[in-house]
Amino acid sequence: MGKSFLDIKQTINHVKTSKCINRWVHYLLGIYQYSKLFGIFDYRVYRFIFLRKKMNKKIGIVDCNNFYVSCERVFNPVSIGRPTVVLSNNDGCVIARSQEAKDLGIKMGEPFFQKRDFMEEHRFCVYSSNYNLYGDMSDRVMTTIKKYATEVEVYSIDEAFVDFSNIPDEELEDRLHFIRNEVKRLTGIPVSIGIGPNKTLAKLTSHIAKRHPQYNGICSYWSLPNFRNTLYTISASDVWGIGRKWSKKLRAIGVDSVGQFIMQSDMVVKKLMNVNGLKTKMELTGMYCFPIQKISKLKRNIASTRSFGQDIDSFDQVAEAMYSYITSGAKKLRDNGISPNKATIFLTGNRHKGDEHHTFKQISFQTQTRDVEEIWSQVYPQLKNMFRTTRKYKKCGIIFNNLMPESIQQTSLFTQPIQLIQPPVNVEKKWEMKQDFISQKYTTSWEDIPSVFV
Amino acid sequence: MSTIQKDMLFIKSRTTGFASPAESYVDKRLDLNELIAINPLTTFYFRYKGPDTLGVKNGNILVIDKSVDPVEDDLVVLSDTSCFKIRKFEDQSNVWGKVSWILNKL
Repeated sequence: MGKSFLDIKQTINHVKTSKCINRWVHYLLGIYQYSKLFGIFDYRVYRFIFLRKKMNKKIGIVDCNNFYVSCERVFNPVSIGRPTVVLSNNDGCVIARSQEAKDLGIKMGEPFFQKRDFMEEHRFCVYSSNYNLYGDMSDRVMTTIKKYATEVEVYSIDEAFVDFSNIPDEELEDRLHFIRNEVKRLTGIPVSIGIGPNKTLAKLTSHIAKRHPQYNGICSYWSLPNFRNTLYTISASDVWGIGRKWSKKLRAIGVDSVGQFIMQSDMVVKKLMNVNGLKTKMELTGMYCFPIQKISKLKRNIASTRSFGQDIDSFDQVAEAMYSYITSGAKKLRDNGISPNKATIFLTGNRHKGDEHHTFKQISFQTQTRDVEEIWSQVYPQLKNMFRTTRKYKKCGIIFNNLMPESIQQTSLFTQPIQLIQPPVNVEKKWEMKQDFISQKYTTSWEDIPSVFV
Repeated sequence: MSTIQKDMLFIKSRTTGFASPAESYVDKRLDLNELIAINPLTTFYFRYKGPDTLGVKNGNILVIDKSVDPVEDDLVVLSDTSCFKIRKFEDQSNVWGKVSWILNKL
């Protein structure tokens, strides 16, 4: 009798507490909804939510050192020890530099033609970008990392966020050294690892580590001396997530360093930037706001665009280039299993020669499609309208918007049959990329595998 | 998997005539990759150019598995200052990888 009575009492208590929690949750949700409406108390609410998210996480960023240069060096022993650079598409400017090249004062994004003589004089190794090789090597590196950690977010071609929270503190350093050595041994690519309580601090730590070679590629937020003071020596624009636009705004209110940035009030940051800016600020103070995303989000749009090898003034050439970009774009769509119902095409003049001309046109397809012929037939008339024979063009491209998975296909009631237009044929490809210094596809083509000698 | 193999797997659904006696013996056909490129991630291919040495002929394809550490007398590819070279392993420091297979087309 007594036992069952107790049981009932416990149940009632349980219901009471859960109701109580429920009420609180509703109350908080209410505040949140209202604050969203008014906007003004927004930051307090966000702060409240994020404060609770202070977790003991260990987030690492694994970053390949001078990735493109490292890839070239794996297959070109000649370039080891010599200053090496990799050029952008069309051999326009420098997009990757070895340490030796950095020491000789080569800047990121520097136009190649300006430095050509200087590079020849200093016996530089120069390579055109070889994305077949970099893509494959990146895949090898990322898959190797995934073997040693469960939560990995491949963030870019040469970076990945990794969750090391399950590794005990005392083993952490050995573990990181092990991963670093394994990646180097198995793929030949050197990596450095920065680790911190969240993504932003991990990035910042690896930024600091890069400037101080004594860390030997592994740098932990917790082992940095005087971290707060160091923050004043780092420019706010070096923080992950603070781009050119925001750092300009910050400079306008007198904020230059990271240290100054985190001293700003939440209100100011939220107003000046947005909630992501606020999250960045909170992460800099040790909170955890940006979780690791294992699965990449569905792409919003897919662009297929490139600049021509030389300026083009004939319509046939532009049409041919556009057709080939549509073809490669359609391949990307197929690979991702999505199809667009809108696209934007654009034509751009040569900005380096002072031609700021830029025209674009949005096209709505009759139905969702990724069929090259269908897309081309709807793009062609618009392209013809846009094209001016008096102008010279340097770049064109197509961006597919409104991407939907195949399964969600919406068909229109009143579709007229599309009049198919012939693709361009037999046009001399003047627009093709300039790649004077391209290395071979060492890992993706049997004709290009590297040679061994006696 | 080839179409024939797929047909073999779905053989049950075709109930015309007698069931195939091979039905319960459907196996995956042998694939050279399982033998040569056990770790596709760390496997690289090179082509040898030069006179016949160390059992390697001109034009042979060398399969290199970077995940295997070489031991004494193993065939290795070295990254020399200017190019790759094939040698017997004798504790050199600039080893690129151990040669695990030599593919020789007759």
